[in-house]
Amino acid sequence: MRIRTQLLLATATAVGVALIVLGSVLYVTQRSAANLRAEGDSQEIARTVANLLTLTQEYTLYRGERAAEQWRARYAQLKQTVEQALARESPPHPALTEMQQRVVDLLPLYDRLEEAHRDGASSLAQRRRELMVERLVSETQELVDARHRWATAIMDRQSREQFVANVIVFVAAAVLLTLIVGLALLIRRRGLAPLERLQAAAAAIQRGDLAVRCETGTQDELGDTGRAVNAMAESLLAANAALRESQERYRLAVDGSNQGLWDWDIARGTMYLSPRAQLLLGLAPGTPTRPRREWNAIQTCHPDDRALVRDAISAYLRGATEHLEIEYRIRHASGQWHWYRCRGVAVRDERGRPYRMAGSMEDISARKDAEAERNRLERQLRQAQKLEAIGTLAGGIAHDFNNILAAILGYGEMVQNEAGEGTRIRRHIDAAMSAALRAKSLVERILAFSRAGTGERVTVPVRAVMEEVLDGIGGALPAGVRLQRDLAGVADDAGVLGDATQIHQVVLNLCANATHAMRSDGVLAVSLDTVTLDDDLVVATSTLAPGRYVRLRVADTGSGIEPHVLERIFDPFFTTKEVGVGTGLGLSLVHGIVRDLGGGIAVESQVGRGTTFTVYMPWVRCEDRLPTVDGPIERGGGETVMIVDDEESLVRLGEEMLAELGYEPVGFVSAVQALAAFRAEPDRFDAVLTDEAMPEMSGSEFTIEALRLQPTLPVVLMTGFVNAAVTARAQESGVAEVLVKPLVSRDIARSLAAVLGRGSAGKVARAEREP
Amino acid sequence: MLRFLRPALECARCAALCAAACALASAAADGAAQELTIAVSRSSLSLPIYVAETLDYFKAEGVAVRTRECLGGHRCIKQMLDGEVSLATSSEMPVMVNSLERADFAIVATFATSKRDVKLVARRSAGIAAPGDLAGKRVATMAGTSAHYFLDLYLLFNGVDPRSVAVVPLAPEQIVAAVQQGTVDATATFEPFAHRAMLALAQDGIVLPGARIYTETFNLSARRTLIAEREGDLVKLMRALARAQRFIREQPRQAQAILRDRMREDQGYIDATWKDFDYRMSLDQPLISTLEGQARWALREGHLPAGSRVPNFLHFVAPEPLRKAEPAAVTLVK
Repeated sequence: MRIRTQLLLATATAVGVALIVLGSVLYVTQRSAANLRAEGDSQEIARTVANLLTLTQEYTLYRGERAAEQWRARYAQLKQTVEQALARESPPHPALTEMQQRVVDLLPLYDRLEEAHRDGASSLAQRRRELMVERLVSETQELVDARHRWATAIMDRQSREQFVANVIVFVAAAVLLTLIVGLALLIRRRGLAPLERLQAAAAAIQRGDLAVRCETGTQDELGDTGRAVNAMAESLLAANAALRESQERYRLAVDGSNQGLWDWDIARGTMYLSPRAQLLLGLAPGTPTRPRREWNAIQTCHPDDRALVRDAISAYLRGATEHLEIEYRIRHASGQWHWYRCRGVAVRDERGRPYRMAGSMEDISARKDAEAERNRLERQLRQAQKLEAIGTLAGGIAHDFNNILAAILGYGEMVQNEAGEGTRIRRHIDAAMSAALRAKSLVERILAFSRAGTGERVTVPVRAVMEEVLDGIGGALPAGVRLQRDLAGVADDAGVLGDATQIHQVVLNLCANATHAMRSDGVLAVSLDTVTLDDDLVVATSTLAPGRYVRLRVADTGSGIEPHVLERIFDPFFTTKEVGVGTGLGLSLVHGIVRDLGGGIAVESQVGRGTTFTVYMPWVRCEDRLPTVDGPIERGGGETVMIVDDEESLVRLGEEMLAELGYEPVGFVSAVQALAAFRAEPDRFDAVLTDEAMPEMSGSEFTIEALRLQPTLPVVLMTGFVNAAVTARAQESGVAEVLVKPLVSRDIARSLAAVLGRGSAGKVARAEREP
Repeated sequence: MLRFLRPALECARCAALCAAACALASAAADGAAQELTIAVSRSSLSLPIYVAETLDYFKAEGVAVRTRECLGGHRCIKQMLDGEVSLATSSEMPVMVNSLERADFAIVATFATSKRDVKLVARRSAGIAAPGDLAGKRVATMAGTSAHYFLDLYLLFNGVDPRSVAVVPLAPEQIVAAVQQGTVDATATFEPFAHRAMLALAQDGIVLPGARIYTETFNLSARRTLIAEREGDLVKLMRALARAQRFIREQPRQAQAILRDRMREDQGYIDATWKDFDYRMSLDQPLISTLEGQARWALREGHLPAGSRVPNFLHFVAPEPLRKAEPAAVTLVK
């Protein structure tokens, strides 16, 4: 049954009971009033009857008219009172009816009494008077008795009606109480209890227990509500599942993105930082929501970034920018500055005023470091490309210039030999040869910078080489400059895989620059030791891989290098020296050599206090001593040597040099022609000197073809530009030795003696050159 | 006139002589049977006893009652005084008469009253049409009874000298024939004989207008010893009669049926006389007044031995049983 129906029924019942009670009260009131009137009538009758008795006695004794008149008056009053009482009573009580009858009976008796009085004093009259008086008294007594019974009946009736009234009140109270209790129980059982269960279910749902269900057994409003709540719980369950799924996706996305969340309640001044965000700041996850001031005190913004952050947030909140995305530094709990990227959006009210702002933050330090490293590497790459380009350009120029210089030096040497000592021609040619040799040295330095590898490397005992170099420069230092050496940091077996000459050039150039920086006063400190790098080490020219290195330090107490100059010190032809004092190739050469060795250079400089160059070279164990490069020129024994070069002047020069050295030279300006001659007479030639860079056929290709015809034929390759590719190609083709142009007689003599197996010199990767 | 009372007086004397002998026997009988026997005058006034007996109210109240019918209150009360029965029904007149002889009995309850039980039935043919016409006529009545008392009152009330009327004493069962046969001109008799007389006279009969000058009471009397010994049973008896009284008031048709059966009368009698009786338990002052009035009348009229004095009738009323059963019914100051 619907609660509404129940309430209507309960209300109708209550109204009914109330009407019954009201009616009962009215009835009881009415009856009480009737009883009061009857009681009044009864008392009036009693008084009247008493008066009648008195007046009867008076009349009997005195026979006065007054008594008779009063008797009749009282009788009339009695009759009226009785009739009035009868009229009020319905149905009339028997005693009242009896009274009426007895009242009627009284009057004839009284009439007879008066009549008897009037009859005089006869015995009959006397008997009649006595009888009438007796009967009057008796009747009056019966009237009194009837009145008493009526009064008793009234009292009984009052008692009964009072009892009935009490019963009604009691029953009404009981009914009302029963109704109230029943209604209370009904409300409790059908209303409150289900409502409490409904409330408990709602509270459980509010707490998140969506498995709870309400009772739906009844078809009333509570049942409807229970079903609605259950449906709501089902919906919430589904929504929660969807929400959990969404949150899980969101959490995975956030976790995957390594982002923390923040939520700034602008109105309240509180800030929420998600546990992940706190972890990103290096904090142990704690209370996520705190006053923003506390968070700001915890996460210190880098002084250089504060204005940026403030301006960006202010601009966004003003609406000047569409998005908030800032990258700035915050002091990590570890004490280091970390880079963070912060993104956010604002929630605005209807007037556009922001009252909440939320977003994400991400630790981008690694990215920032990577960007810095990438920038550095890009700069390094640009530097290397620049140096490579310059080296290629310079190498090309030097190669051509070298060929020209080779002719000058060759023919100049011939003129020197032919000119007599002390003659004017000899002085002129000597000056020309000196200038040519300086030019040769310059070309060699250009070529040394530009080439990215040499032919064959050997283990160089770096400490011995250093001692040799330092011994050489010790006496050439200005008077005010003191050399301080410390080579004890390396063992005798410490070596570098390379060329002793390269080590010479590195030390000489660094010392020369240091000496120049100190002008005429200072300390030139040169030290040598070994160091083992456990991690990558970034230096000015490269990043060094972990491993053991020979570390060379050249420090001066000179003027130091300006920061903007530091970036360019390894550029070719960059110099801070006066015009004509420096070529700008010293540090470029050092850089090229060290890079070729697989090492790197670090530079520390403080303006006015000096500069320290630290050169790292991969360490190798060294047991060999440096080969002796100098000795007497070994001459040939008339062996036929083929010389091939696309430069005719160099072919002629070569023929003359070979002839001077005791060989029978046969020159060709074309490799194709030379190969044809070789095919024609394979056994004619004891050795071959061939240029590498030729238009029709390279020297390596020629060597392959020649060795195919005569496998034992010694072939020496000549080239003005040596790099790893050339060296490898030469070795693959079977070249016995590679010589670097411009060639002098000694180089050719030593090489041919070696390949023909007659001289003491073994294979040397490259010819000795002046520094 | 005294001779009219002789049967009653003789009965009283016999009762006095047999009292001692019968007392033990009746007491033994009462005690053995624990039963109350009531000598009930066959009268409409006895209806409460008829109803209580018919409806087993006595048994219901826990008292064993057996009734014995008798013709007229004088006979009934004689049986009681003789110890033949425990209680007797009668009007107040037999009580008054016997009170002059003995004082070992008392009225325990008035259970009916009537102002019209006694009627004056006359023959029209005798020239009687009004009360004043009775002078010089022969009026039959039961001498020394309430009917006789009523006749005197009636005559005095209507200004007729009683001495001018020839009172013919007859037994109740003789009256109807006497009136019908014309041996008397009128009769003052109680029911059902008045009704029978009227039936017998048919159109010749007339009931003279009654003056409500006498209230006949119908009482239940018992010996003092019984009242003292069996008061508990008497209380139960009173309660049974009170129930019967309520039944009569509430179920008049059924009560009338019971009355018709007991009286062996037809419904005509019932209908004609039903309103003449008032069945109500009481012990009130008018009873004493009536007894005293009747005593004075009897003394004055010479119905009692010379020198007799009006006794204190309070001594002949035992109100305790009724008071205990129906307190409101007792208004008598005692």
